[in-house]
Amino acid sequence: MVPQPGDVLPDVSLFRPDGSTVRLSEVVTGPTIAIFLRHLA
Amino acid sequence: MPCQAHLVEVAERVGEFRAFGWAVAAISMSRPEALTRYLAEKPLPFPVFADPDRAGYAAFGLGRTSWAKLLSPPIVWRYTRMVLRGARVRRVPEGEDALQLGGDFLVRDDRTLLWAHRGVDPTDRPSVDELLRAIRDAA
Repeated sequence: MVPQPGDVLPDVSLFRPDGSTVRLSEVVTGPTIAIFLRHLA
Repeated sequence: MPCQAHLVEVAERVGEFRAFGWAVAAISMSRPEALTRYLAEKPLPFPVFADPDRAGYAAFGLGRTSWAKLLSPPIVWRYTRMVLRGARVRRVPEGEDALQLGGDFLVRDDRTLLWAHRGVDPTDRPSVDELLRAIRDAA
């Protein structure tokens, strides 16, 4: 299901560049623009 | 390349987002070690996270395009224009999905989605001005 404005996003896990894990709730500690990239390199 | 251009534009104007009290976070499907190498060469004024399994991409409802669309004349022409302006085409890094689409989202600190721009093609990104408008509308 594609989340719509008003939906609460799941607290997925991501990785910091050092390899440690971080939850989405630790990333968005305030209003945040989340930019999902295609390719960084 | 469109992602690089978008990142550069956002990085250059990150102060405008911060003036409204908004932070920026980028998420890449690169592996953490590839991110580390990239950021060592091209540091950014906001954090970048790795999502090699694309769980975050799925959670935000980001889909995939098709080879037919990726190689369609309008998309090829947009990439060609970028190359003519000096951008470099590189191979898709190992483990990354060439067909994965990107997107920009406004998220509240309780993980509520406020606004979404999901790319309909590989070159589809909102401008910084569109992001700022969305921030003002979300207030």
